[in-house]
Amino acid sequence: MTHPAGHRPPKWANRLLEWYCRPELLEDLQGDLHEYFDRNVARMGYKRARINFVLDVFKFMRPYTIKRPTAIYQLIQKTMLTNHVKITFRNLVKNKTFSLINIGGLAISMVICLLSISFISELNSYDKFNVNHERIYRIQSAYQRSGQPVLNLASSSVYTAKKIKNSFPEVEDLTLVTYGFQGNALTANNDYVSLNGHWATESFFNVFSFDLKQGNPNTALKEPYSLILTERIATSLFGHTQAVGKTIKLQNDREYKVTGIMANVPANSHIQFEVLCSFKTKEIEERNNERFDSWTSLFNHYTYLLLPQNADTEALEAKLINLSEEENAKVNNRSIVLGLQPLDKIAIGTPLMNDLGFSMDQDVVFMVIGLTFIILLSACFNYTNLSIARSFKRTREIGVRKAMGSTRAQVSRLFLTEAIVISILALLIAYPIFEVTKGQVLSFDSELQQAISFETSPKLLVTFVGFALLTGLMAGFLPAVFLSKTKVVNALKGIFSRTSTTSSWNMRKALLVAQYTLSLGFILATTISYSQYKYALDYDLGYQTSGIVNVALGGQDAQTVINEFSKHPQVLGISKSMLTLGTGRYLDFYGHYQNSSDSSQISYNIVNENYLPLHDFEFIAGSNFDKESELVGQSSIIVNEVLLKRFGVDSPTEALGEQMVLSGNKYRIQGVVSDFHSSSLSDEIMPFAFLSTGGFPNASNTLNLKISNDNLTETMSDLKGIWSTIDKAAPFEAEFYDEQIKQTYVSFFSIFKIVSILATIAISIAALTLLGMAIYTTEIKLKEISIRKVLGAQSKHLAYHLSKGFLYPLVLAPVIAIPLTYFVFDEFILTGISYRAPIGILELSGGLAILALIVVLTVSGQIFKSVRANPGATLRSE
Amino acid sequence: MKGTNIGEFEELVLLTIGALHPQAYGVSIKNEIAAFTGRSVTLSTVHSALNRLENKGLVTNHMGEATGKRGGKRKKYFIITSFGVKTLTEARAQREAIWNLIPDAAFKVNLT
Repeated sequence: MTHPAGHRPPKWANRLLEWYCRPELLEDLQGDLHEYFDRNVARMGYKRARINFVLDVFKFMRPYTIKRPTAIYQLIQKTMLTNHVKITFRNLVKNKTFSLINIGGLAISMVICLLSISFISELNSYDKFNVNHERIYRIQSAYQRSGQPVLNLASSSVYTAKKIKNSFPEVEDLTLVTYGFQGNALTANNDYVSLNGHWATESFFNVFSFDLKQGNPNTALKEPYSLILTERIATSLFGHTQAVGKTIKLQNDREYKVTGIMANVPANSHIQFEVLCSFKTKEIEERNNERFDSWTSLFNHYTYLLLPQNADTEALEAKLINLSEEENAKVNNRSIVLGLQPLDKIAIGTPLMNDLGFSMDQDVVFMVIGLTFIILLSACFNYTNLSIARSFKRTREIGVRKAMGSTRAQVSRLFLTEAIVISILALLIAYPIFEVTKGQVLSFDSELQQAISFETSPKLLVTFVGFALLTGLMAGFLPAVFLSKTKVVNALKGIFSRTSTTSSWNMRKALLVAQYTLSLGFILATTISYSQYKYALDYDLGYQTSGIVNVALGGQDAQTVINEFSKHPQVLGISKSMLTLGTGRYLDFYGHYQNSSDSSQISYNIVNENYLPLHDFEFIAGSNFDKESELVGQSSIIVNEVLLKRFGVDSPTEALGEQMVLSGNKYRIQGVVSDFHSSSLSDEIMPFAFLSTGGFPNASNTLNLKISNDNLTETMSDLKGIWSTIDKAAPFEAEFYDEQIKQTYVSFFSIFKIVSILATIAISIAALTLLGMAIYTTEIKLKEISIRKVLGAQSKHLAYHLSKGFLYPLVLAPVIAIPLTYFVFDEFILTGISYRAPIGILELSGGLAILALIVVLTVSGQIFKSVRANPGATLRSE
Repeated sequence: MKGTNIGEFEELVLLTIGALHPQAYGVSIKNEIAAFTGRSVTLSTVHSALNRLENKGLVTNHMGEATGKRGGKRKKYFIITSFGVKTLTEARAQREAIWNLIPDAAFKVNLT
């Protein structure tokens, strides 16, 4: 007994001391600590003494006590590393199938990882080119009409911007950007080039760091009717970029002066434009519009602040809230609460309405990271699984290594090295695939295609390599821990301790279940998202959309265009409308029935007398609008059933001829149509009213052409020809109604495409694992099978015996995957969608059947091979 | 003179080593300092001071015999080197020279 009464200092602290302390100091130091410990036990008791011991061990961690690696140690490290790499390559070549399976599985999942790494790092780089990006903030507005949900807007009002500029001295600078500058300019060779951009105040270049090549950044946006062009648009207008001082004549017959030429807007800027026009121009154009700079007109203007270094943003936000309260007191029924949004949080952040440019919901970004990680994890499982399965063959090697003096740490380093080498090889395969597929991935989504360029930078390549190293560590961790545990004596005698093999078998089963679950989850996700998409497309909206082409009028006179189009023999009918229904957009106002205190939000559309028959709306009572010309001055409306229900009207005929007040004007109900989906299937059916274009002659800007199904392409090109005789500048903007509806649900289709790819990958990796494990199981059990066969076992029993290890996890997987997938879709993906496709037994069992089929196909080949092997040959060769 | 300067705590440790001779090792030095001065010092402070003294060549050490105590670890005994003795004497001589310079009046406490 070295310690009286069996009182010992904590073992781990003692070990820690031995680990860090220099050997020449260790003995004395440890001795002193132990002596001191014994004294403390006597003085203050066992517990306190132990605590003191631990504290002392940490107190002794000083520069002079800490071990330094010796030259010989470093030399050993280096030699061992070369040896490890050499052994790794020998092993790779020796087990070609497994190397291929491992590298292949990792490479497939790495492609996805590389995509999402470059996607996220690109999103992260958004707006960072601004020198002051950390100090730039945007004013956001939480806008609420009484009784309505809050709308979080990225925009704010001109009024707010002016108020901040005049009474907030702590704001260093401020610029106001107004969305939607548009015009057609005539080029030197008599073509029209359309200019798209924004209006901006003169301090634009003080706040942002866009590269103004020519012109004075301080004065370029000072004068009214000044324009700054990007190099690209300047070249297409003038053929060169030396354009400062030139004038451009736009459609509204105003002459604009070019005061600056700037480099093209970087792809990773959330503000995108080709032209900047001075804000003074906008002010002059809107001088008769008193609402232009009112507190509540906040849909088109974006205010960016430049704050000083270390500004107190909380104090500023508090001031903004004060300002909001003051101003809200002056208006009725509406409230706006201003807030600050850092520029760095625009590209990835909480989603805002009417954002100026590209923005990605941070939840989506997290989801991308999560999915990528799951896929990667699955590939690592694959590696872990196969490595541990192979451990039987490696135990002897480990035994020899340990007998020769390898420490456990060195053995685990061998397995980590192997994993890292494999993951680097996988990266070498994954990278070219990534380069090829990145373009395809972007083409899923037109918005993404504009926002993300997927350029490969050196920094990104370094990240990729770092990522591969990390993957190697992750994949190699479990095998390293498991295999380095092997006991020398057992390994050399060829004894596998019962506990270690069964526990590793259990772990492999658990990993297999995890992979099945993942694959099944992705298969289910694919079917669910596809059926939701199909469901939305095939849904009966309550009106006809097939064979209808919607033409945007631009600024053209509706009657002229109608007259010209109706001459074409294939055009069966033409109607006019303001809004295209069923595409997720809506217009609304407030209105009430007989009781003026009970008003409600009502969606509306302004249409002419041809609209309802052309789209086959079903009348329940009353009649269609009269001919437009006879209606001027009087106001009729046609409403839907939900509106009547909302105001407690029992029968449709009862409502006919009754009066309604909508947005302050009186209307007479002329007809009732049965319910239809006016917005999209995400929304409930709303109270709806059709207003006649008779009351709003200029409100409709879309023509609905019903055209016959014959010679569609010819008809379309004819119509285009007719359009070009009417409007020489603007292009013919026509779309099939069905296509527009398809576009509305494109997000379901994107989800479907993404999860179907992920499903394919998860399944391929799982199949690779299965294949690997099947090969190994049959290989190891070959002798056992042969003996069983000799003793009279039947093939089918043997097949069952071999395959049950793969089939049991298959029963467990759906138990986990089905509720999980259902939960994820129910809670996260399909929330807010009112009309959902039912998820039936068919979809669920279909997914399971696919998975079972894959399992059987992968495993059965190996099993049949081993069952049918001639036992004589096997047993003799052993 | 430079290089032979030692700190106040180092001097204390060095003197204690002398006082404990030949039984001066980590724990005994720590206990002795605590007993002499009433200061509670930690073992690690004493050890690092010993390490510094050794680096300066003021002390040397030898390992004792292993016993059943101290977890079976041997003690490391410290002895002052002749250079250490010289340093100590010099430090003392310096102080005494300065002491002698102080006029009595400087220590007279004025009570009025």
